[in-house]
Amino acid sequence: MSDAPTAPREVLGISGVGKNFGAVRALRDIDLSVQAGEIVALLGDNGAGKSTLMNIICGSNTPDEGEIRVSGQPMSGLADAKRLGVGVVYQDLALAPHLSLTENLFLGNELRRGPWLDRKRMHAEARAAIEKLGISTLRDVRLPVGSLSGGQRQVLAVARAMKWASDLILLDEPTAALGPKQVGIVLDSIRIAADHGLGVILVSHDIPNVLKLADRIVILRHGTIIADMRPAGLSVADVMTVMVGDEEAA
Amino acid sequence: MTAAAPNASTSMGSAPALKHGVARVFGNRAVQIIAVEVVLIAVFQTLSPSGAFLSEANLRGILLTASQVLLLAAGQAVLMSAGQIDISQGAVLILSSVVSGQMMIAMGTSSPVGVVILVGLVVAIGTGAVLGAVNALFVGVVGINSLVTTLGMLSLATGIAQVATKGVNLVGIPAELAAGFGSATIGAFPVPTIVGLVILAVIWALYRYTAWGTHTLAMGSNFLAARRVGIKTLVNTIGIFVLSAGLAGLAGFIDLARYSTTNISGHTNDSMAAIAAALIGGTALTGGRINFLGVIVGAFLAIILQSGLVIINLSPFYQTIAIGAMLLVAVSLDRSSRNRRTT
Repeated sequence: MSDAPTAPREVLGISGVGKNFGAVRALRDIDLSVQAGEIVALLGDNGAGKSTLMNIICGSNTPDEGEIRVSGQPMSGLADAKRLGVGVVYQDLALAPHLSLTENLFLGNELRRGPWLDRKRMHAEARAAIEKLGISTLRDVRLPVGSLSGGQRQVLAVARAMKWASDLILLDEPTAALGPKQVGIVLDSIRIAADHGLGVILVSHDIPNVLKLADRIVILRHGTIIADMRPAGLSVADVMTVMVGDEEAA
Repeated sequence: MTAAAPNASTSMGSAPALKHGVARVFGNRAVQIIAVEVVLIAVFQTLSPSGAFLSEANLRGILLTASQVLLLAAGQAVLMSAGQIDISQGAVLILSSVVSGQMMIAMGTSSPVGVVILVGLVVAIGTGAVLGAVNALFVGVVGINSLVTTLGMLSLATGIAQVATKGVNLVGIPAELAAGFGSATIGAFPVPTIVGLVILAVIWALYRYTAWGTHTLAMGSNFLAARRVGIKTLVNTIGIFVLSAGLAGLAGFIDLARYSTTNISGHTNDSMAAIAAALIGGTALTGGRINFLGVIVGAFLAIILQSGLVIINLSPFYQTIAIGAMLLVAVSLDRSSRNRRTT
């Protein structure tokens, strides 16, 4: 995580993005800008295009049209996303269950001394990253991830994204499998990350917490952005109405 | 020599710690197999005429056979840890030995014998590597399952070897190859066995101390996750198939060195032996876990069984039954112990 000053600057710029899957138009005319230190919640009903948009922003998928820029630099693909410091918490967490907590935290970013792994330093940094999130139940960073509970895995995935994100962090349902205490820890961590200058995009169905946490709420429907609003004064019912549309709500 | 996440270390008193340590040692797959092997050796030594099982000649034969099985099992274990499999190793071994042998015969006496042998070695490993790259491209680029791809290669390589030799094993391999390598020893150990063990140790060290091992295990544990964190999964897939087949090529060269001829019909089941050795040793067929010490003792288990059953004059049919039963018992024990740990 960077300690850079939090002067407003665009960390993510999306212009004219569209994506088709065969005859299905999954995304169309997406324009979105996220500033450093801003938490943007991406909401929408099932099939609205949230996952497709997240996959494009994190580099897993490429758009058929339009452009993605991270901190002013064009981005297409996972290698670019890694180079530009985009941290991601995938909905399926993207962890390797046979590997240890440390190995997962550093997977693809291993610390080395020459050609050799610096396991000692990685273990120390892994402990520090976990402690930073205040998780008392994850003491042993050598444990295989397969032996962790669902909540512990989720926290690990968040810790990994936080560790490697330098400008932008994407979180797809980061609190889905967590208990109330861990939800609080993760939400606090997201706020801290934003306070450190990271732009945050959050996909969540937990609308009450989204309303408390997000600086902006962007709502997708039928593959396009239909609302971009501030959460102040909004209720869960207001958001739901925009998400599903008047015709479905009626 | 297990590459996977080690267990948690917790603070405890010396007596429970000792108990925990002992339980951990005896819970180790390799230690369990070594115990079985000690019992088998004792039984075969007792039953064999004049104690022939532990005779110098028999031990030497066991070690020489192990040199080839170790190379194949090492390559297979690496592939299995990445969630892949190669059932074409035996065929790659055969074709590599044929191409290498034909090259050495073609060079004849036109070059110094040392050069001829060196070229033969490079050609054997190179042939294996090329066939491995072909396997990898079908798996990584075309997207065909590795079992299906290598089943095709098994048939293809065997067929090419038979066409190239018209089904007749080669003669005319330089005699110096057997004298200087195939039959050579350092102390009591055959040189090919030492070569096999050194290569295995190098691969273990790379697995343990470089990111390559972690990335390979990650590919076997969760391929999509490995790709998402930026691991070059295609490059790594090509690398491990080339490694495995290159080792099969080296095993083919050892074949030439041991027998001074090819063995076109003698290696088609070698992949199965290698898979069995890796599985018995605790490497997971589904990926994410590898046990190098287990590979060594697993390879020796099958060879000890084979040699012992021959020496006590049991029909060869019983050998395959015994090895198959051993494999099923080992994998079942592994599964039940893992189930106990997760419930």
